Amino acid sequence: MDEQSLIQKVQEGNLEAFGSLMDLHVRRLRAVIALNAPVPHLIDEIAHETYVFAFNHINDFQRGTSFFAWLKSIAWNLLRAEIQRFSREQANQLKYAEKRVFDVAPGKPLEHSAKELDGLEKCLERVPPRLKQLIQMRYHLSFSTEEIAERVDQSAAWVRTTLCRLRRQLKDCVQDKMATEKA
Amino acid sequence: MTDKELIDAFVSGELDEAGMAQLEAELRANPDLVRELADQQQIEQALDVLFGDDAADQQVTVSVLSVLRADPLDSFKKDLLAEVKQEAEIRRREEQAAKVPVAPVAPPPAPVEAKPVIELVPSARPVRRRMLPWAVAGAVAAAALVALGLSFLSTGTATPAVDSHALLLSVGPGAKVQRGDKVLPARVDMALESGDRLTTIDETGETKIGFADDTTRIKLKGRCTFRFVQGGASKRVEILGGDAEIAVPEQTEPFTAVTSQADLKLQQGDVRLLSKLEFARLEVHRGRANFIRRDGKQVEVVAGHYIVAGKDVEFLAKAITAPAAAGQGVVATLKRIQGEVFVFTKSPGDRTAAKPGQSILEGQGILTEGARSAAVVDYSDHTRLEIGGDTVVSRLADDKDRSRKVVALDRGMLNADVSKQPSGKSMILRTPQAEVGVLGTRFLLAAEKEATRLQVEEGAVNFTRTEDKQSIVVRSGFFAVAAPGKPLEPAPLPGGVRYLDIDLSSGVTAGDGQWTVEGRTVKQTHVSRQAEGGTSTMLCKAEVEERESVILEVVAEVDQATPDVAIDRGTWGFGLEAMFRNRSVVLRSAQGPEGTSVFEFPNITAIPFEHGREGTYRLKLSIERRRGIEAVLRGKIWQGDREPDGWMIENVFELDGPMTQVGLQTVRCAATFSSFKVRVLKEESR
Repeated sequence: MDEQSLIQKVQEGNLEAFGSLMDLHVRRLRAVIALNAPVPHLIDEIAHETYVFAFNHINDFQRGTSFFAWLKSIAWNLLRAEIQRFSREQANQLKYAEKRVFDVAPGKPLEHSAKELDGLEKCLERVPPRLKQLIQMRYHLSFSTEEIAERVDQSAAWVRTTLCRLRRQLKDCVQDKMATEKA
Repeated sequence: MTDKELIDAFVSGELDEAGMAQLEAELRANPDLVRELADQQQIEQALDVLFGDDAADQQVTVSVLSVLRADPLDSFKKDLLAEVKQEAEIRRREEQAAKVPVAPVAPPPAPVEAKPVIELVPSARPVRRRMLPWAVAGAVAAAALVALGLSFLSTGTATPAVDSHALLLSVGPGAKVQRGDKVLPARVDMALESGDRLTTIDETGETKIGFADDTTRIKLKGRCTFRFVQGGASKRVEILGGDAEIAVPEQTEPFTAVTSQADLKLQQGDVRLLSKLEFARLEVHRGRANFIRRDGKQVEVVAGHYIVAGKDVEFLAKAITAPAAAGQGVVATLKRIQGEVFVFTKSPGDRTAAKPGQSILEGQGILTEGARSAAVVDYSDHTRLEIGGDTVVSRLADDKDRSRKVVALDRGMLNADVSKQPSGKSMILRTPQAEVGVLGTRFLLAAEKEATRLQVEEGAVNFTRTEDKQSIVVRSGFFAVAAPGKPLEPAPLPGGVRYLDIDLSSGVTAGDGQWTVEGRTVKQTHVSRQAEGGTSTMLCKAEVEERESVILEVVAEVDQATPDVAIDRGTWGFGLEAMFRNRSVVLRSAQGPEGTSVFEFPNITAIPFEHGREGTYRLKLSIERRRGIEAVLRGKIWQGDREPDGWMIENVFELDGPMTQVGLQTVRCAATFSSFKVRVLKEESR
């Protein structure tokens, strides 16, 4: 069933259809939130609240428009509110480094993150195989740094430094892509 | 470890305490590293999501479905609460009918809800994933059952009728309420019952009392003894001792305040009532009041007059000419102060600490010490001066004619928001180097040792250099500097910012409200009692160029809201509106039932914003025009003077044509709007 049919069913009160609708977007929604969230635990929490809000306000959604864009805007607003609440209530309990990351928490416009995500996916295609292997081990297989180091026969320091460089290169690549698109 | 190793260990959650300490030291020494850390964290998180297996995605969808499936229980809760409320209402009416009223009380026209029930219900903040569905359901059911149980057990005093009770809007330190033989600590939102005696003991504290049916307000200042007799259509209170400011909107029957020497009867107006054992003094600032002495003699007192009732005192209304010091008249009031603020008469050296609410008399000046100090001065026509830190203002009115505003800014900076001045009485501001003449506008004036800078937000200002009497006109979006030997000419403000001239007095109103404009302040005084709707708007012409971006901002002081009308989301609210060719855009803060509240672009998206029923809020709406008809709307709301960074809400709308009107909105509440500004952003200033 396509997205618009699912939305129609959800607007008629079909909860199971909403499950299918969620499946269509959950990965990308979480990724967009991840590109903005200052702490990891907010990712799934905001995704959860976004879907609950979307279901409760599904009749406000105009069929024919982009459902993912709608989800994104809900998520963005929830994230903003959550960051403000979180920094107000828990900032003092954070360690210094976490607090500083919070201090520079997002100021990106709404559509920015989705474009950033597109850019990231394209940049990942250009990552050399040896480094892709590192990415698979860290992010897909959830290996620790020591485990990765053992498997690639390198030091833990090398793994950390390489991954850090790789993320920086990915970030630069994404920014370049966005700047080129804008130009 | 190197910076890169530290960052990787941090984002992957593998950093130990020693490493954390090292990272913190690096961050403190190198602030640029913070941005790098944040970038790395976000890419790390995104890669985690993109390369993660399906388990995390499924966890989200399963948890959402679990919560949504719990909805039937929510319905059960609502049904149960409805029954409980109905039961409480029936019992209240029975008890009300059995009571002998102290004085005639108007019958309550609107149904009343059982307050304790509402207070016990948990807030309807969105359920978090961390809470398991059964736990949510259990908590809801438990809350409802506890509420039900308490409601059946509470056979004591009935909740006062919505329309006839008074309530405490703010409470000074140590205030107490004596109810029968019990003494209760006074608290905000506490309902006052007939016969309640309120005592305030703090010399500098203020306690504010409101009424449920309209915007009548009593502010008790310092030590007071107050007794609430009744509210509703014929409000009656006793001020047995102390100083009270009373503001009363139009009444069907006069508002009555009883003192030991005389009774005040007020149909509509603002008064100050000083009640002592030996005398009672009434000052009328707006409207007209009757003051009735114990021997039955009655005198009508009109605005600008006062009267004293007491032994061996002439019972006669006189003009208020010397309320605070013999021979001196009040020219303005110190509305707010921050930090070190002083009032002086002859020289800044001979000064006394200023207090908020203090009258500034003829010949007096204001001094702020320290960069963070500030003072807000209001004239009676709503002209406002915001005086910055390290500033000396040695005069606020003309020596010969105190109704004319002549301000001497010897040093420092002030923001002026000047209401329209009478013809021939333009406001004059003088600095050592220059003179500014205005008939009504908004601008910033800064006087330094060698130069004076004028920056105009709105309207046009005459700027004259004292040295050679050269004059120029400085318009909105421009600034000029008066300094010896330098050219005196207006230049555009950096960033290309300009403010629109909004003619508030020509605003068009619609809906269920009563709007008045006093200077630059807009008041909506009618609290709509409609079960649904109750929206009222005032729209003013505000033309900008096609596709220009704007920022609207306003300060909203909510005076009174309809309490506890449990209907759909948003029982009351206030907001900003902007009209375009194809649609109107509203940014609104809306208070929902059971203490929930949202900040929203209606029907699009909403987020929780926690605030009380009354208070002062600042709202900002940004409308950024993009290519085609797309526009990005952003909004924020806050309390206090510190504006939060970033925006709280954002969405994309399709807007056609230029903005043609801007306005204010209320929904079932009375509010006073001030500092309403519309800033036009040019391309380079975004």
